[in-house]
Amino acid sequence: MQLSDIKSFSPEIILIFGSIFILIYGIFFTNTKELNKNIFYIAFISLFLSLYFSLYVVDLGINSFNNLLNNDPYTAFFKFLAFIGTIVITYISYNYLKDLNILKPEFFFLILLSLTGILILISSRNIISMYLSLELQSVCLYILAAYRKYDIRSSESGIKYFIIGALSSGILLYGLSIIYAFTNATDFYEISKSINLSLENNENFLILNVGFIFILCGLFFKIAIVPFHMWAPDVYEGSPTSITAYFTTVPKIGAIGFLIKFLNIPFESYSDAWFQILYFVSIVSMILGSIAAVNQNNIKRLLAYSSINHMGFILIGVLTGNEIGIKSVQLYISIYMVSILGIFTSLLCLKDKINGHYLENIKNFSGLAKQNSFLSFSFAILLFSLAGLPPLSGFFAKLYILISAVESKLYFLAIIAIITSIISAYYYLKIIKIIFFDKPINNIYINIPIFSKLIILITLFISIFLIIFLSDLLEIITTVALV
Amino acid sequence: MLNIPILSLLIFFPFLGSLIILFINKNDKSYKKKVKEIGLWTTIINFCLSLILLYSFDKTEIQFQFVENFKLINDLNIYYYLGIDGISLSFILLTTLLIPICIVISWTKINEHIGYFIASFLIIESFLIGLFSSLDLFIFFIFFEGSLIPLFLIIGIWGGKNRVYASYKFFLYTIFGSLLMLLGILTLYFYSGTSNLTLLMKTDIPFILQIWLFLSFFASFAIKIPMWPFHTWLPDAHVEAPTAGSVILAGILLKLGGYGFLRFSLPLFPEASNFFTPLIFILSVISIIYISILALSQTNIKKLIAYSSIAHMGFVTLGIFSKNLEGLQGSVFQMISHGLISAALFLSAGFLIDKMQTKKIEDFGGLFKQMPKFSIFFMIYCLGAISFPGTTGFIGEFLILIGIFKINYSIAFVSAFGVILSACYILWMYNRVCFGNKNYSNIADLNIKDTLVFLIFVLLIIILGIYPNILISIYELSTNKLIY
Repeated sequence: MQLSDIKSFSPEIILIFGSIFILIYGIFFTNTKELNKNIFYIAFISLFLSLYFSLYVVDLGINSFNNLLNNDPYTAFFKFLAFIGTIVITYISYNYLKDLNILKPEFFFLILLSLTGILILISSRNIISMYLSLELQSVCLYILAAYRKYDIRSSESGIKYFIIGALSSGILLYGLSIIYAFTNATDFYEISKSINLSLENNENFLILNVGFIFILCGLFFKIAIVPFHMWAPDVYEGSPTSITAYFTTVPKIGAIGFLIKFLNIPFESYSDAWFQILYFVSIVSMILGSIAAVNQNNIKRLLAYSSINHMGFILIGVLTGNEIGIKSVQLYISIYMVSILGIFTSLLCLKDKINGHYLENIKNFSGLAKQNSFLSFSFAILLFSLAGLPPLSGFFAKLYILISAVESKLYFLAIIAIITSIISAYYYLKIIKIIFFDKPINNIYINIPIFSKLIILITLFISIFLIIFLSDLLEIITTVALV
Repeated sequence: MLNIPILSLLIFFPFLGSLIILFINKNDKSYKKKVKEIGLWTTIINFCLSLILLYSFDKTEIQFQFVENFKLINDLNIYYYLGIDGISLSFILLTTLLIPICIVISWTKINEHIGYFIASFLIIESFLIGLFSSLDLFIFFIFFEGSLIPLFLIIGIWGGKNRVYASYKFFLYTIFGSLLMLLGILTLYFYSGTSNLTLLMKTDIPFILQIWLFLSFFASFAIKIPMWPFHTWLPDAHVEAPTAGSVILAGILLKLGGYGFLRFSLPLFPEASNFFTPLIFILSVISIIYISILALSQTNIKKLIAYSSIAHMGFVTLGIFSKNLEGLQGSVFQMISHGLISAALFLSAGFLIDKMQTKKIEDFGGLFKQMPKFSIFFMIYCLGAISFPGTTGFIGEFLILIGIFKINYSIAFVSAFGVILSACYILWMYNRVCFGNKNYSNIADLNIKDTLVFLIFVLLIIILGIYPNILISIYELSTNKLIY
C-alpha cells in the first residue's frame, strides 16, 4: 500500500471513520436530544468532507490497491450523484426519524457505511472488490429496511430483502467463481484479455455463459428489474419512507454505474450475449413496471413499480453500448434522481391530521391543492416531469434514451418505450388528479422545514429550467464518459 | 424589420406573467383581483406586440421572417430556430386575440385556484406562439406537447361533472399521437442529420421512409384536428371543459393538426402525401357527413357544437390535401374563420349554460324575447357556422369546394352535402334555443362587457367575410410556396 492509494481512497476512509466515530459517540453520550443533533452534524460534516475529497483531492485516472480500484471522471460522476442523493436523504431522514422517535446513531452509521460500499462498487475494477463492496452496501440496506423494528411491515421487508438478497449474492458469487475458473483472472482487463483469447481459439463458451448469466442475475437483483423485481414493492412499502427514497436512488445509481462498466470492460467482446439478455429484460421491465403500477394506491409501491419502469428505460441506453447510449443513461439517472428526491421530500411534509401518520395512500392526498399550493405545484411539476412531458426535465431524459435507441435502429424497443411511457403517464396523472381535481378532505397536516423547501425549490428549478443549461450538463457528461 | 427578438418576446412575455402570478402572496385580500389584472394586461400587451409583428411583417417576402437562430443543445444540433411566414402569423394573431378574451369571459366565473387558472392560460399562450413560430422539429415538439399540461389542468380542475374522464381521455389520446410523432422526428433526424425545417425541405427522403414518417406525423395531427375515427376525445373534452377552455380548444388547439399538415407533412413528405391523399379524402368525407349526422341527433348544446367543429375540420383536411391554390388558401382561411366562429359559438353556449344551469337543448327556448341582444349575436355566429355568404365561414368552405372540384367531382359533390347538413343541425339548434314560447323569470341579457366581447367576434366574422383579402393577403405567398 502506498500513499497514493490512501489519497485515492480518502473519501471512503473519511466515511468509514465518520461512521465508526458516530457509533462510539452514541455509546458514550446518552442525552438523546443533544446526541441526535451532534451526530447529525458529524454525519453531515463527514459527508461533505468526503465529497470535497472525492472532487478535489482524489487523482483521477489512477489505479490503487494493486488495481483493485480505479478512479476516473466516469466514476467521479456517479459518485457525485450518490453523494448528492445521500446528503439530501440524510437531511430528510433526520426530520422524519426524529418525528417518529426512532432516530438512533446507528441510522447514520448504516447510511454512511452503505454509501461507502456504493462508492467502492462504482470504482472497483476487480471482481473481489466488486463482490465485497456489493455485500457491504447490501448488508447495510437489509438493516435499514428493517429499521422501524416495532413495525411489522418494516421487519417483514427487512427479512424479505435479506433472504432474497442473500440468495442473489450467492448466485452472484457462484457466477464470479465460474468466471474466475474460466479466465483465471480477477482483474477486469485481464478477464477481457482472457475472453478475447478464447474467442480467437473458438473455445466452448457454455460455462462462461452460465457464469456470466449468474452475475447478471445478481446485479439485476440489485437494481430490481424484471424478473428479479419481486422484492422491490414489498420492501419499498415496508421500509421507512426516507429509506425508500434511498433505495430508489442511491444504490441504483451505484449499480447502474457499475453495470455499464462491468459490461463494457471485462465483457466488451461478449456484447452479443448481453445485448440479447438486456433487450429482453428491458422490455419486460418497462411493461411490468408500467402496468403493475396502474392499480397501486400506496405511493411507495407505486413509485417502486415506476422505478422498475424507469430502470427498463435506462437499460435501453445501457444495451446500445455506444457513447450516446451511455450518455443518455447518465442524463436519465441524474434527472430521475432529482425528480425522485423532490417527490420524497414533498411527501415527507405531509401528515395525517387525525392519527399523525405520514401519508402513504394517494387517496388521502385529495384536495391538497386547496390546502397548500406550493406542495401541490411541486408534485404536479415533478410528476409531469417523471411522465416525460416537455419542456420539463424528464422529457429530455426520455428523449435521449429514444435517440440512442433510434440511432442503434432499435425501433421495437423505442415503440415499447413510448407505449409504456403513455401507460405510466396514466398513473402519474392519477396522483395529480387526486391532488387537484378531487374534493378536499382537509385532514392533512403540513409542515415544511426550511431546508426541505429549499430542496424542493432546487428540484423544481432543475425540472422546469433544465432546457437552459442542458447543453452544459451534456458537456459535463461527455467529458466524464466511460473511456 | 424589427431589431428586437420579437418572437421570443411574444413567447416569453406570458410565461413571465405566469411566474409573477406564482409569486403573489396568496393571503393578500386583493389576491384574486391582482392575479386577474396581471393576466389580462399581460395578454393584452402581448396582443399589441403581435399587432406590431403584423405591422412590420413583409407580405411580399417569401422566406421566413423575424428569424432567430442559435444553438440550444450542442451535441445534438438542436437549434432554437424561430421564424414566421404568413400562415404562422395568422395563427399567432388568432392566439393572441383569443387568450385575453378567455380571461375576460372567466372573470367572474372562476373562483377556485384562480392563480393556477390564469397561469395556465398564460403558459398555453406561450406554448402556442412558440409552436406556431418554431422551425426546428424538436422545438416544435416541445411546444406541441407542452401545451397538453395546462389544458389537462384546465379541463380537470375547472371542468364539469365528468371532467376527470374527459381530461384523461384528452391527455392520453393526444400524448399517444404526439409520442409517435416524436419517433418520426427522431427517425427523420437520424436520416438527415438535422431537425432544421428549412434544411429538411431540401433533403430527398426515400419513398418508403416517407410513408412511415408521414404515418407517424399523421397519427399526431389526425388526433389533434381531429379526424374520424380519432375524434372521440373531442366531444367529451368540450362538454366538460369550462367555457374559456372550450374556446381555446376549439379556437386554436384543433388548428394545430391542420397547421402541422401544412407546415410539415406536405413540404417534407410530398410523395407520401400524394400516396395518402385518397385515404385522407375518404376519412375527411366520412368526418363531414357522418359527424354531421351525429350532430343532428345531439341533445347537448356543447356536444353539438363540438361535432360541428369536427365536420368543419373535415373541410380543412380536404382543402389541404387538394394541393391546389384554392384549396390551400381556403383551408387556412377556414381554420382562422372556424377559430373565430366556433370560439364565439362556445362562448354563447357557455353564456347560456351559466344563465340557465343546463346543457340540454330542449330546456332552452323562447330566448329571443328575453335576450334579444344575445339572440342576434348568436344568430350571426350560427350563420357563420353554416357558411352563409357574407361571413367568414362562406369564404373558407367556398374556396375549399372550388379546390376539390378541380380534382375530384364526386368528393366535392358528397362533401357539399356537409354544408347543407350543417345548415340543418345549426339552424335547428338555433330554432330550439331561441324561438318558441317558453318564459323565464330573471334572465338578464348581455351586459356591457359581454356585449363588447360578442361584438369583437361579430365584427371580425363580418368584416373578414366581406373583405377576405385582409387575411388572405397575409398568407397568400406562403400557401403558394407550398405548391410551387
